[in-house]
Amino acid sequence: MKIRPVSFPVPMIALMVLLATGVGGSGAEKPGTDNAAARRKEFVLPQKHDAALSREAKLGRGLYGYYCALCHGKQGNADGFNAFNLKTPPTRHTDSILMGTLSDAQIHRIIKEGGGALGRSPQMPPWGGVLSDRDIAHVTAFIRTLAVPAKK
Amino acid sequence: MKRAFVALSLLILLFFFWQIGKDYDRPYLSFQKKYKELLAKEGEGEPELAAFPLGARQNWLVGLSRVDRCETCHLGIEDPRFRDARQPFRTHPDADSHPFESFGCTVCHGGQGLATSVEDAHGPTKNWNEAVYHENFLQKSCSLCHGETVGESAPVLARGREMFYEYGCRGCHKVEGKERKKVGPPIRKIGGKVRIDWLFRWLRNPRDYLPKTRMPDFALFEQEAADITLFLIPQTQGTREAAAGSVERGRKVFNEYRCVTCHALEGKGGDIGPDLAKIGSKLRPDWLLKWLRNPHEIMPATRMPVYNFTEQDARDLAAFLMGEYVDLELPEDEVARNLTAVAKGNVRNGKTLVEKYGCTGCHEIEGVEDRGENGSELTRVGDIHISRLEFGEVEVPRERRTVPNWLYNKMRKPRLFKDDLKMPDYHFSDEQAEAVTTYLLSLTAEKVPAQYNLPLGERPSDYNPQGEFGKVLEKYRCLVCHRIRGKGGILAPDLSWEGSRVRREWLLGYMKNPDTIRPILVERMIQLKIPDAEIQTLDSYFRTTLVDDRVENLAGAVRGMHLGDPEAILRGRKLYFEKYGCDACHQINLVGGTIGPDLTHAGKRLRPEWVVQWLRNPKTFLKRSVEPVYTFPPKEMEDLTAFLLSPKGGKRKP
Repeated sequence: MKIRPVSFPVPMIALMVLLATGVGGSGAEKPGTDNAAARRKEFVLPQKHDAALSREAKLGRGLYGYYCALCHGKQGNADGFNAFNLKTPPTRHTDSILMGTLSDAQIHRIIKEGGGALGRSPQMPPWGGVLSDRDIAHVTAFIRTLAVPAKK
Repeated sequence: MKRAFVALSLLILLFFFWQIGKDYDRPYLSFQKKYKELLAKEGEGEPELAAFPLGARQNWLVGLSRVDRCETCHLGIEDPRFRDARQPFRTHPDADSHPFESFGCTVCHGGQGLATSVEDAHGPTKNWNEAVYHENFLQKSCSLCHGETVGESAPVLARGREMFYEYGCRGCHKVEGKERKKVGPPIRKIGGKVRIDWLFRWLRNPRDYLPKTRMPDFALFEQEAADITLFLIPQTQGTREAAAGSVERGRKVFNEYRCVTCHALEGKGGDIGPDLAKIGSKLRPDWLLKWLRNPHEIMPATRMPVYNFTEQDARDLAAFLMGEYVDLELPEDEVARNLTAVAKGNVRNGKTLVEKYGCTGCHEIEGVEDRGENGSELTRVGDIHISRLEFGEVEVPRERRTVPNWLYNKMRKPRLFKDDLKMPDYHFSDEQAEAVTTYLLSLTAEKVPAQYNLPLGERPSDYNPQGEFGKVLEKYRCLVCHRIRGKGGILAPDLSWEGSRVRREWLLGYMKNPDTIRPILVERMIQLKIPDAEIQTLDSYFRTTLVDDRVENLAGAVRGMHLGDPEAILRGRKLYFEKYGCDACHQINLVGGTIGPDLTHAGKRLRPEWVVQWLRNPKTFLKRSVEPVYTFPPKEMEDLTAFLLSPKGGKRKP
């Protein structure tokens, strides 16, 4: 069979014109377009948790919540459920002025050796037998995130 | 013609050199140059800079059959000086425990190790299925070497695994090597248990009745719910009849048996059993009475113990719950409206729907054949190729099309990709969806060589006591709250060493009438009214089997201590209150903290050997104890023990 030379480009051009103007059916009046857009929005990506916290602070937060928050409170507001049973109220870790006077090394030592060893309240127990130096460093890192820097 | 030929030749020559040149300007070179600048600032000067060669680096991990070239750009991962550097140079936070030479990167992080351009290495790319995992799912890789029960070291994975079986995913999805378990109650003669209008409402929206339920939302149409209701309860019921009993006495019974330990009422209480606040709008009173007499007969897998209620107790309790706790938010006319809707249902359609939605995945249903799992198998879902996952009506750009992203979205909204899918909505929060996704991704066929295996976490315990003791344990469901040798709950004290811990006289009295050792807890030991014969069984098992040599071996040492010496007691008192501040956590005569147990009657409760061993190291027995570990000198130890065991006054609560 012989193909006539004109028969090829004519439908081709017609098709291209159709596609270009969008009459080809795909562009107009697509049912459920709104729905599709809504669904596209509903497809979400996982979001990072606490991107602001360092890895050390994140690890420290778990330990803080388990051992410290009972008195010092989850957010360091000195409002843990046991805070009101203490003779000396627990340190408020959100107090930026007070926390500003303590160096990391001091905080580390209080956690490790307890309040009694440093002339503070003996009701703050020594955690050196429970937490390793590394753990304590993590807890210290987390405590440092609790206080909002003092306003000047 | 000739000119064209020359021009073309030149063009080809140019192209040839351009290609060669391109090979010298690899995409990673720009990172390496930036790293060199950083090194010039942070490093130790010229010699170090001179020793830094440009070029690709690779790590061939023969054991893992992987070649990782990640360090070509991630140049600082083992160098602590780059802790705060920007990616790709930042120090790896866990380089000590997982050194790069033996593990490489991709075995945990995914991605294409051989690639040396950012896009190809991180993915997703066309011909490499595994893109780098988002940090939220990263714990999926822990199970590869550390086994499935990683526990605390990989909390997200552990939570996901727990959820997978707790929410009954295994009922519809096969996972090889895991036993199928139906997590919902069996449905037999349910017309005798619940009210028709309740079932209709429940099917339409379970969380409307019980906000914390595990029952998922099937988004049924009204007609579908009516069909299923009518199929499950074909016979008509009478109107709401009242239970015969005294409401006032029932309230006392509820308090006496401490039902609130497991059931919430008015927003307060435990969550081991369902919230009972609207129970009167759900159950039929005669069923509740039968349940209270012996729940195990109706539902063998229930966590509820068999209580030794008297007939009158059970009747009054049923009357109290049915009478006082009806759903007050339920509009008056809704019951009638629901009943009218159900009347229009079609029993045959109901059965078809029950089969279609796979209700038998969670429930044993009378009259419906269980044809096994009706969801897709998940044994190797972590290895699945992205092309096999249907995105349906959702347009997702290629760089977001990864297996983890698909699974995560499926967990959040199971019918997102297509409306008529069967999987119901569990209303998972983002964290929950992440946890389940992490567990699913961990289900792969990938194996690591033996030298990489390092199981962490507690292995599942096969503790399963037989005989009389086993029967008592089963009857009272002790292991729902208590743990013995690694089996059971963690709500209540671990009993693995109970024989070494407590005095016999105390135990016998406590079993008869449990009082409060930890004052602040909602979940207190329930009143079971255990008959004497069963108490004897428990006691003899505790004495003979649940003992610990570390404690028993201290008998000689304790005999040598002067525990009755008034001066030792006085010295101990001083240590307790002044030196160590034990009152921060423990109460004596209502003074002190409420973190640890009340010690007023410690002398009546605890054995001296136990106290000594506990003071030496509380973590001997309970790793999760929040008691600090002290190192007391022997003298102080003796004095403290003497004080703790001494009578400290205080009335024993009746």
